[in-house]
Amino acid sequence: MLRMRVYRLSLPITVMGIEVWALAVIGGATLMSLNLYSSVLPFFLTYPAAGATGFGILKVVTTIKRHFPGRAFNHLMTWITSGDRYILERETRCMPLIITGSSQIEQRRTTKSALQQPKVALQQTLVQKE
Amino acid sequence: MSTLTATRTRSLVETLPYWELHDGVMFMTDGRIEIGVEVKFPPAMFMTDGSLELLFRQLKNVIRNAVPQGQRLRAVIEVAPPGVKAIEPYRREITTEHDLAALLGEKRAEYYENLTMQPNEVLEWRAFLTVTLGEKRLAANPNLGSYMLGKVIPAMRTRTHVGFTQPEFDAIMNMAHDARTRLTNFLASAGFNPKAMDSQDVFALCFRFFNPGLKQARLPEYKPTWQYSPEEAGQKLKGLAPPSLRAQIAKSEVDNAKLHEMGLGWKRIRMMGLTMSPDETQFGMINSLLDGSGDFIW
Repeated sequence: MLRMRVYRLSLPITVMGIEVWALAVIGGATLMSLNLYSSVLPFFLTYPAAGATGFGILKVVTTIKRHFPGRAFNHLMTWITSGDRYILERETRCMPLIITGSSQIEQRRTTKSALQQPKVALQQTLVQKE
Repeated sequence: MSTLTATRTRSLVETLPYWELHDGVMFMTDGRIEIGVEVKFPPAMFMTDGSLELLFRQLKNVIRNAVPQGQRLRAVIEVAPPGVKAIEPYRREITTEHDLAALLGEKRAEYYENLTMQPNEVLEWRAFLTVTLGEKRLAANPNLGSYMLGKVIPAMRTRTHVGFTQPEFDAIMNMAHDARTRLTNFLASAGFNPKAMDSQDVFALCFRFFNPGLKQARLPEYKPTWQYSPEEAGQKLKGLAPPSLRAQIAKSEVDNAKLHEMGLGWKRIRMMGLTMSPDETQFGMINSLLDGSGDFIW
């Protein structure tokens, strides 16, 4: 199968093939488990057991990262903040693309005056009758 | 309807970002525009590795050169049963004078036509490239503070639908036509057989996207908005339902209650996100998605 590189999507910084956060996880877990095991296990077992525990905790953290990737967090937040159901309601906004007046303020004034027009017309007709 | 349900139930028409279609150019409510080109990719089945790689490099160049800085290109691939009309070109090619050969051709065409009636036996692939252009035109600076204020006080909501004056409109239409011509020419020189989409094409694509359950029926024709009303009238007069573009597009309810699937009308849509991105891509890596094993995959 033809394989082609498009873009390198991830550029991890690694030390001997291990990423920096993984090194920190291994180191932290090893140190803490060494402190724990020193009072429980015999001396010759503490270092190998602490190393194995650090490795195991790295595996657990990697599994968690694989199942809940940080990049999915944005999608999750978008989904939580969006609605559950989008129903069909009437349109309330229907504005023209091209403004015919010189400005939008003028446009709004004309609409208001248009709403007031019937009263004025009625008054005019009354005046004419008198 | 409880308060919680009411807050999670929203209007689809209000959510859609479309404003108006003009000469194949889609105007968004925030003032940006979007153009579209339909592309016919050559069949990859009979191509050598070298020609595939050449094609791929050309496509990459198109994306790099024809998309303006700061804008995005979206590829929509539609896989759908084309209906009986897809067999029409095969039937048209039966031009032999021999009766037996013509009969064989007719029978073969009939067989294919019967196949198109079966679900997911005959599928048509169509690809569309859409590019956004222009800048946002909003009546207030959209930051988090104004957004949250607008959520609490509807009168302070960021105002969209900021109209254009005639010179502005002409300039933006010129820009859209230039960009579309440039994209079409780039794609044509790369051998992708592009076709610039007109208003009806864009409307049909949007309609099929939002109404997968209705697209086997005859698609409605796009009617440019023929009446306008001021914003106050739309909010105050409850009986008014202006015939805008998004009111013409939104015909199916959306069910977004589950994270990994979506209900559109009576259809369920499966969704996939590439959260663990591979190091490198591979030709035909999404073919298994597009084989029609689901109903419609976009």
